[in-house]
Order: sequence, then structure tokens, then C-alpha cells
Amino acid sequence: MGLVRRGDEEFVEFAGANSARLQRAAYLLTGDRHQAEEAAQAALVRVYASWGRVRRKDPYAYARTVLANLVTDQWRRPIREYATDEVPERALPRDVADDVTRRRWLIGALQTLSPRERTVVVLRHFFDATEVDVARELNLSLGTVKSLNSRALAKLRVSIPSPRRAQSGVRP
Amino acid sequence: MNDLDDLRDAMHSTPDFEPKPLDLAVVMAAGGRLRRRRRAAVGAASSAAVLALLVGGAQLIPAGPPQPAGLAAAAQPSAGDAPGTGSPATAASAAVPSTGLNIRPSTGVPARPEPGGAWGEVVDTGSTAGGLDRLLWMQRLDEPRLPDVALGIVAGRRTAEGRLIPDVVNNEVEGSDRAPGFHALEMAMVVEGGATPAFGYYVGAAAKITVKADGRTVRARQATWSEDRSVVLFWFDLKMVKPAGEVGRPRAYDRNGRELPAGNAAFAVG
Repeated sequence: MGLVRRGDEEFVEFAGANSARLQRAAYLLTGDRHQAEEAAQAALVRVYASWGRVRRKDPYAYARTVLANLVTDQWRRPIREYATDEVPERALPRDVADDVTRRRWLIGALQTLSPRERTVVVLRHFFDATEVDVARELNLSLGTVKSLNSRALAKLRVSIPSPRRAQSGVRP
Repeated sequence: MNDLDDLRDAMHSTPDFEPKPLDLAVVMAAGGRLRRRRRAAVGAASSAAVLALLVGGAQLIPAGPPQPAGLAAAAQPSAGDAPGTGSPATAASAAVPSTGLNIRPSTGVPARPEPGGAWGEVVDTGSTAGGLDRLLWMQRLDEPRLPDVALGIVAGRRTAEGRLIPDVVNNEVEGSDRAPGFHALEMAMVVEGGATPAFGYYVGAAAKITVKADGRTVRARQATWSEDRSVVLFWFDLKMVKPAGEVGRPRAYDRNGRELPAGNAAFAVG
């Protein structure tokens, strides 16, 4: 590659530091490794195209927003997809399940959520975005985000810890 | 660890998926094209004549039949002819000794150029693409969001019927388009119409412009813009500055060999 435009080095640094995370998020959103790579790459293309504008703001937030909306736009196309309330049973009781099995179960269960529920969960709990940010980035009301998040976690049978439990680490 | 921690842990580990290194050169090339499309759209916002047909960074305007060699210079219409208006005026060619290029004086340059059309004289780079002369010209931009930018530089061709075919459009998006130094540098690339040279424009009394290309210092060919003698259009021979080659360190020197201000001396890629 030739001499790069002003700010390109910053972009390369940004992309290098975040492409793996974006791909992983894309995989969570799509459930398909090839689509994940394509979506992450497409998101970075758009980030680069807007780099002059976003580089001094929050390029990471911009990237995750672009990614989420790219994937969501695909869902808006007439592709049949059926969200279901039927989440597969956990393969093994928690106490004896190995980590890989449990992670695999959770990722599989994630794919049973509706697209909007899944997107909210990924933005909220993978990217650690606040509910306010998720609402803004997905152009949803805060109440809708809270509702989607709550419903999704219920489907995943993920209990939200109370502050005391979270601090003490005590399991129910 | 609680359920939510488990979920977060699972999402961050994804046992069945390992991210791969992405080709950032491809990303940046595609991003550059997207950026230029947006700029072109900005430039075309008030001009439906030519740039409304811009797609994908390269022009998709269907070219007319190739012009017979040797007839191109004599048969070209004036630079100021709006695309599609036809009127094949005959234009003389004038040699510029320092570069050997031909500049076609326009017989119909509008005093107030139409957005999207050629602004001032069209410059013949001396090369061809798809059987048509490879040209450079300036076009007027009229974008309220870019109050200090009225100049866009275009690499394109012209059909036998006299239509200008823009292939690559570039312009400043920050600062003034007339600030001293380099502007709108564009890498050599291959688009639908064939290869376009690395090009750009310089504001100032640049007698010599060079870049470092694949380890060699390469001098640009250049032409003074007809509408403002302080603006220099320049480009590089495709054999010396190749698409996807290593290009950098643009320098401008005055007639006494003194280095001039650099300005926005970075090439757009892709």
C-alpha cells in the first residue's frame, strides 16, 4: 500500500485492535462465520469511509452501530427467519458442565432469539453499551430496549443478579 | 460467576468461531471508493448532467466508440462543452515544453461553469484508456457543507461524440481548496475505463513536483489551470507510478529548486 491519507495509520491501529471483536460480535449476530467476516469487514469499510469524521469522536461506538445496523438491514430483507421462544434445554447441569459446553449452549440459544432481541443482547452485554446508548444506536426507545433485553435474558434463562449477589458472587 | 457473567464469557469466547485477520488493504481500498462515491455525490448534488451516473467510484457512463488514433486532438470538442450537448468544435493543441503534454484551449469555457462539467481547459495526459484519451479537468462543486471547496479534479476520458466521461473524482473535504500546497491526491488505480494515473493538483508556483514511487523519485507531468494560474494539475506516468505501487513523499519545488508547502500531501487509496 502506498503512503496513506492523513489518519490512515490511526485507522489501521483501530482496525487491528478491534477487528477480532467486531467479527466475534458479527458471529453472535449472524450465527454464521462467513457472514460474520463479511459483516465485520463491511463495517470497517464504512468506518474507514467516515474516518475523518468519526476518528476524533468514538470510532468504536460508530463501528458497533454500523455493524449492528448492517446485520439488521440484512434481516429486514425478505429472508425468512423464525424467532422462537423454545430455547434448547441446557445440556448439562451447571455444576458439572464444562465451560465449552456451556458456552456453546449459550451461543446456540442466542440464535433462537429474535433479531432485535439478539442485537440488544450483543450490544448490551458483549459491547457493554449502556441501555441509553443501545436505544440511540438502534433508534429504539429506552423502554423498548429494556423490554427486549429483559425478554431475551428470560429466554436465555439468564437471571440478572441483584447488586448484592453481583458483589458477593453468591450463586442462587 | 453468575448467569450474566456466563453469557458474557460465552459471547467473548465463542468456541466454534475464531476471528481471522482481515485484509485491511482491501478494507481501505473499498472504504476509499465509498468515500469518493460520497464526495462525488456531494459534487453531483446540484448537477444531474454527468455525475448522476457515478457508481462505484468509477464512471459507468457507457463510452462511445473508440476514437481513431490521430484524430482525437483535432476532433475534440471544447473543454467547456457540457456532456451530451454535442457541438463538436475543433480545438487546437498547444504544446507545453516542460512536460510535452497537450492542452486543448477551450473555445467554449463558460464564464460560470456548470456544476459537473469541465471548468476551464481539459488537459490531455498523453495516454489513452480504452482507446480514448486520458484527460484531467477541473469541475465546479457547489456544496453548502463545503463552503471553502469549489474545485474538484477529475480523471476521465472523452468520447468521439464529445461527451466527457469522468472516471475518478476527488476534492478536498477539509479546509480550503485553494490553500497553498497539494490537494486531492489520488493513487493510480484500475477502474472500468482502464487504468487512471496518480494525479492531483497543487496550489502555488510549483515548477517541479515529485513523488517517491517504489523507491524511485518520479517527476510529475503538470499543466497550469486555465482559470487560475496558481493552480497546477499534475499526474504521473502509469509506468512509473503504478496502481497498488508504493507511493509517497510528494514534494513541490519552485523554479529555483526551493521546496514549497506540502498542504494535504497524502494520497487517497483505492
